[in-house]
Amino acid sequence: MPETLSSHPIEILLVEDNLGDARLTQEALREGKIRNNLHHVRDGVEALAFLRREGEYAKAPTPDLVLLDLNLPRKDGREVLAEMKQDAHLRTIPVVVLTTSEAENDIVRSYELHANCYITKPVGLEQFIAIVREIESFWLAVVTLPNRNEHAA
Amino acid sequence: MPAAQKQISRADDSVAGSNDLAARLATAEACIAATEARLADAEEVLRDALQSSLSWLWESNEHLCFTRLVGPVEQILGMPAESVIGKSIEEFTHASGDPQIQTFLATIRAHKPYRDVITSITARKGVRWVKSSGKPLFDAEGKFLGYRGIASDVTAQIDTERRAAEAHRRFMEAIETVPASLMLCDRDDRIVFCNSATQRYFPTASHLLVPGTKYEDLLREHAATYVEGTGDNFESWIAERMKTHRSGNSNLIRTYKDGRWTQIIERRTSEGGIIGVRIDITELKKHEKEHEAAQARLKDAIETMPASFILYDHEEKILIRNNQAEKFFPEVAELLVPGTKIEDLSRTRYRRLHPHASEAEIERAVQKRLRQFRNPGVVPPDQLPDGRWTQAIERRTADGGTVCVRIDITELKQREHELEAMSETLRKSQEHLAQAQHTSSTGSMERNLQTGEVRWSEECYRIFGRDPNQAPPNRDEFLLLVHPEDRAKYEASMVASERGLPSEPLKFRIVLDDGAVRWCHCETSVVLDADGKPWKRIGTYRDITIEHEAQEALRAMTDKLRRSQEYLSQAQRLARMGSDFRDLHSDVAEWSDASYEIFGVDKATFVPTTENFLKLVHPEDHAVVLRTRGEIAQGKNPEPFEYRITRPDGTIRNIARECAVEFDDNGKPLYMIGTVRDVTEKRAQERELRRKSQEIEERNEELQRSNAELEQFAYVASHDLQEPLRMVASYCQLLQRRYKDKLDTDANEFIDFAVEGASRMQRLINDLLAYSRVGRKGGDPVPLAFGEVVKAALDNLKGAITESGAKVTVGTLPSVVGVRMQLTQLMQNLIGNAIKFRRDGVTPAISVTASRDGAMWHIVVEDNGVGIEPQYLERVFLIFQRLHERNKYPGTGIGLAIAKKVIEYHGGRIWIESKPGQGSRFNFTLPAAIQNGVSNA
Repeated sequence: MPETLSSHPIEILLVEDNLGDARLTQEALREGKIRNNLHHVRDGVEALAFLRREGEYAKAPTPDLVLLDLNLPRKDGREVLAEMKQDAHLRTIPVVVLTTSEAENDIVRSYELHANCYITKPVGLEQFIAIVREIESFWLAVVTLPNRNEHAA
Repeated sequence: MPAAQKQISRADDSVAGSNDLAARLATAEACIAATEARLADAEEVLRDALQSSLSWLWESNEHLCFTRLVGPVEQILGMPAESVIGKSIEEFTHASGDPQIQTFLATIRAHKPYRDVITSITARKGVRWVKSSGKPLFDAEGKFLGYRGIASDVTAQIDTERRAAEAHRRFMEAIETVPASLMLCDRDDRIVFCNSATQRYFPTASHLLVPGTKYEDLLREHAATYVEGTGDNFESWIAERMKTHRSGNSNLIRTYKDGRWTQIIERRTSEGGIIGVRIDITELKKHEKEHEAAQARLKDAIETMPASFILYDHEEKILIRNNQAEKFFPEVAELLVPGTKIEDLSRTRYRRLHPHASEAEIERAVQKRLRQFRNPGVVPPDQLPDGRWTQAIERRTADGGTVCVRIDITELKQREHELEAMSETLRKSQEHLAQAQHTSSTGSMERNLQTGEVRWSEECYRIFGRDPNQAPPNRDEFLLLVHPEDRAKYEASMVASERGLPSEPLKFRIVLDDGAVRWCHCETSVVLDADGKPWKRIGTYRDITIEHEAQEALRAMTDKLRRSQEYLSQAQRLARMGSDFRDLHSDVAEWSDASYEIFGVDKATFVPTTENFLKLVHPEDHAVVLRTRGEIAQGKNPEPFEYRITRPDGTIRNIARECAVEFDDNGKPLYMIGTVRDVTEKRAQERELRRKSQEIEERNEELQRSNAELEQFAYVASHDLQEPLRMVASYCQLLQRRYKDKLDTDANEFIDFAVEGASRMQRLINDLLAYSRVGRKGGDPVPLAFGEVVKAALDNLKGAITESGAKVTVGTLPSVVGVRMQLTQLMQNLIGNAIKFRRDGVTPAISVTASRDGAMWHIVVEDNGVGIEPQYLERVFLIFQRLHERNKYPGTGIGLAIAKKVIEYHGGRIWIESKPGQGSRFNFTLPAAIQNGVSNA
């Protein structure tokens, strides 16, 4: 694991209305090896406000990864995905769709909206933890992401 | 001589009236004269006889035998007197039935005297008449001694008397036979004699027609019957009449009240009496009148003739002429009188008409006229000075005269010109007729029934195939041309004509020389001559062979059509279908029998007019029917429609109507042809069917809805229940993971139960989800090889098979129609079950085989496992039904439920045969795939 990356905590935005799932994701990431800051919002409107640093999120960091549920109150995940990918500042942020839906329709639609990957939430805890760790290792350790330091600087 | 004879002979002198009577009278008179002469002769003979002793004396004895004869006996009797002596008187007397002789014989037998008895005796010279007188002689004692007498030969006298009597009888008969009345009156005007015919002339006074009646008395009684009255002065009329009567020179005509006429001729007789003859001249008078009337009529006729009539006598002088004559010969009108000679008339006329003619010319013309006149005949037409044309006809009469009739032929002349023109037209017409006859194959013929002469038109020859240069066949020859079967019929027609009777047109066959048979139509009529006798049979022949053949063909077609109609009628009845035809102009319609039956009306009484038809239509459907009528009126052909009718018996029927309308060029409807079908039962069935299918549809919908709801429920349940379940399971596991060693044993056990329950529930929900997805996933059924499906299932079960050491035998498997994923699931479940429910210590042996069952394949998965109790054979297919301890055979019990759902989705059937402890046979069917049109086997 590169030293440079480990020295800075990774910023993750979790867009999830189910507090149980959110906590499970948080717990799974806590057991992980990578330092991260998990920001949790519960609907699409809040998600975009966070991303655009609007309102209470004016000082919010730009996330390195967005974990996006599809079925959300107010503005659902598909809309959030669509707006992000039309926004030049946001479109470079990798979005992992993490949902209980196994519907073919949702999968295809998500990729059309330029989701970076689509993962169905597994039923069992062990599998869930395993998957979250896979996401962590792949997106935060393996993949080289665009530099976000301009915001930090 | 009898007095009557004398009177008649006197009367004879004076009768000079009727010729007939006069002749008869003359004859009678002559006869009488002759008789008188002979009588005179006889007297002379008698005198001579007496003088020459033609009388003789005789004596007889008491036995009446001659004893003495004195006189010229031999001269008289032709036998000597001696030969007579000794002969009996009776012997001499002529044996005859004459009563006079019998009386005489009786007298002499009685010995009585007698005088002048005439008897006949048989002498040698024949029968002689003898007049004798005899005196009996007696002696003193009175004893009869014999006769003494004298006899004389009176034969000549008797003969004369007899002839005179005969003449008188004949005369009287003659008088009686004449129809005229003869009446003789004496000089005192008393009736002496009248014949019986007289009674007819004095019908009211016949009782006075007896001798002695005074003529004047008879006249007074009789005068009333005259027509010309005697007037008031009856006495003077009687006096006048008597004076005429007595004049002996009257010739009167009397008319009687009964219409009869009598001519009376009276003449004086030499003895001063009057003989009157009355003759009935009624017939004569009648003829006279008729003659006069005929004369008058003739004269009228002559006068009314539009012609000149002149009758010349044998001397060529005019006898009679009519007034018209003056109009024809006005220039010689004054000469047109009786007595003018034809020659003078002709000359004067010519001279006056040709004032400049020379005498020679005149004479030539007159001679020419006279030649014509003397050779009577038809005189050539000549023109009168006024331009009129006349024509004279002259004839000789029986008495040598000449009748000359001249008629005005001016119009005739004009007609003649017209006729010439017409005859030209006629000639052309005849040509046209011949042409027309040829075109119409009609020939005309004429047979003179009196001479037998036959005439044929050209076309006749062609029809009968005869040489036109030869004479047409006579009656009997013609009959031979007629087909033998039609000959009698044709001859009957001929005979009718020959009797002057009309005959019906005739259709008959003829046989040509070449044997060809032709059909002929013949119309004939008969013409009578002036006497009413059959004169000519005229007629036409028409070759109707083609027509006849066409008619025969038509008849055959008509027969066929009629049969077809019968079939149609029958078929219509069976099909409860009627047909009709309606002339939309006249509203006259024809219905088929079936139509009447459908409408429940009697064909004999129901007239299918629109009005009557509408009465049958259900009131609510009038609008439907009338709308169609409206469409037709607008030139549209109406669509099929239905309506209801109310039959006369009150039943309501449904009628399906289809019709087609024929329009003329202006779009005006001409007629309509249509069908009616009684669809009452059909409609009722349809309604019932519709109701049922609607019911089924509703049930189906309901079923589908409930199925869908059920599936939706299953899906929603399995999906939405998963979320909270995942929370429960996840956090129980998190507890277990984080606090396993930090809690006590009980807590750990509790957490284990919670995790275990959550996990099982997750499996149930997943199974339920899988179950609900059958039929929604995997696409449409396609033909596929079932062997591949089994292979895929076995691949998926590789682990279980290896672990259990199961032996799986797969037979030859067919192609079926199905959804690959579902069928793979099916086989995986079935084979997996067979492995799972194996018996302890028994190596599982599983076989998969197939056999054909109609359109399906029957597939069997057989194992040697634990088997299933019979009471559970149905239950195993129910969802989440388990027969065993969860610990021994893990699973939710969804496997066979899914299997059943897959098979049912494919339209097949699934069932189990099993012997517990020995094994099970899972049977199911799947539709066979059709490859290249043939089911694979």
